[in-house]
Amino acid sequence: MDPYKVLGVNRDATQEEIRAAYLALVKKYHPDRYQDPSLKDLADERLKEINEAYDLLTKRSAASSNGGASGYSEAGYSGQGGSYSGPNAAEFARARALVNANDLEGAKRVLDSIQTRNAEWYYLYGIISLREGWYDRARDFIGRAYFAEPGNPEYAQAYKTLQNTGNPYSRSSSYGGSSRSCSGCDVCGGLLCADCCCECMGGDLIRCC
Amino acid sequence: MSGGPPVHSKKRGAPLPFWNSVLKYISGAGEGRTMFGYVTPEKNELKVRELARYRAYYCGLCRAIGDGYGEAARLFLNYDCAFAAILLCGLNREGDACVLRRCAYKPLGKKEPVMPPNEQLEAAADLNVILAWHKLGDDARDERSPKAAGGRLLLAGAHKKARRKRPALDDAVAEGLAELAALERRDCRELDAPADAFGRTLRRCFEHFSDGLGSMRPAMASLGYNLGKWIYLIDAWEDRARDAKLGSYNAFIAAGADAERAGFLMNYSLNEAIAAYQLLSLASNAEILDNIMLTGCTARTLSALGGERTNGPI
Repeated sequence: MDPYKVLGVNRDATQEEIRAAYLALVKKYHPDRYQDPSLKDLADERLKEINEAYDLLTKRSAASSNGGASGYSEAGYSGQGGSYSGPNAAEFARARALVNANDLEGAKRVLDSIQTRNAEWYYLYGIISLREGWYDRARDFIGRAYFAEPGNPEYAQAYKTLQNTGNPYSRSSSYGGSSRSCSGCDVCGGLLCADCCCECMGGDLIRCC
Repeated sequence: MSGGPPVHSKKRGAPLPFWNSVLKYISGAGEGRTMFGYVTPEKNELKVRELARYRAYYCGLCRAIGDGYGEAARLFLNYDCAFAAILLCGLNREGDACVLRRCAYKPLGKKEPVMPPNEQLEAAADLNVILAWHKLGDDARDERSPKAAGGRLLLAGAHKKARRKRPALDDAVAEGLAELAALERRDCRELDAPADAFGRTLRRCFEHFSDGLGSMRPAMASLGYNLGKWIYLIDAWEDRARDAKLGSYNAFIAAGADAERAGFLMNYSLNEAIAAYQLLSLASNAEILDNIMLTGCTARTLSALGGERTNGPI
């Protein structure tokens, strides 16, 4: 393995450049970007390689780092969550386990057998739809779960990630850029606005106007 | 947007107004519901050498179609299959050198860089012929378009040959589009369903060309699926007015979806395609492919949703 090639930096790159490239790559292959388990595995493989390359280039000894310990390590799928304890708790737990095992058809069958259409039902069905590529339905269902129980961190997180991925891609923010850029116009506008406010209060921020 | 060989003959090469209009007429068969030509680079962001290379692949694909399937089949060349050619070459080959050739359609023009024939260009040529054939079949049936019927006559021999070479691919496309046609016939109101059918069709195409890619196969499958969804959605979105006028099926009209919902779906599908694309390790062509996937398609989505078109002809 050529660590420079893995990180996509020149051989004379500085430590800062290496770190910047490393952080960008970690963001790019972040497991949260991949719903499909087989793609997640591929991304994990990439991350492992990137961590190894980074360790090599930052002169850490291979023994002390031992895999991803010193670099980024995967947080794991949040599927262990589910503090759900309403009606049909056993069925919902079974559906969730099936979703985690990527048995989407099985999970759907379990959910179809449940009469209660509560937030948990919509959330799990939404996650299944997302994995199956039915993004329109996924947003509808996960949205219903989120709006029914806005306090549930799992629903909120899923809804937020979903909305972010539905934003146009921007290179700087790696995926679904949610950050708003600040253009020159925004800066000037802000200054003029501040100036007006100051003048109202008797002061002045920009002398000439 | 669907191609045909003399794409930039307006500025360079011989003016062949008559021949060109004939070509345009035939290759634009079934105009409107084009379904081709969405996966293109953002030209303004390409380096000059990258643009030259992109064109070299386009010319190379055109020649591969001509060599494999005869002159008439070249009329159905499209940009999406040029993307497929660049992707397959990028995955399987170190950077090849171009050769200088003169285009037969521009006999007075300069020699231009062209990608010499290879296995991947041939594969993309097969895909181009098969997709174009089934697309024409749909148009001839659904819209009773005489142009599409004429195009089908022109392409019949080529398709027969392509089918003999890749029966599995031909079946995959035929089945996928038949499923899509069935959904359209029953006026499906669920936006996800037709996009999913077209996505699965393109996924099978991408899987067909994933031999020897090992662990990258799922990434290719996901790229094909999500790119297919994106193409279907953007095409349907832009055809709303036309479909409303003709009274033909349109997924967005049937679902009563607005621009916000359309934008979410297009961006989501494209972002998933990008995420899958970024898992592929490329041996070459990374700059062009990055441009197409990260910039070109994103800009195309925005322009479909009402933004300004920034990209000139390629």
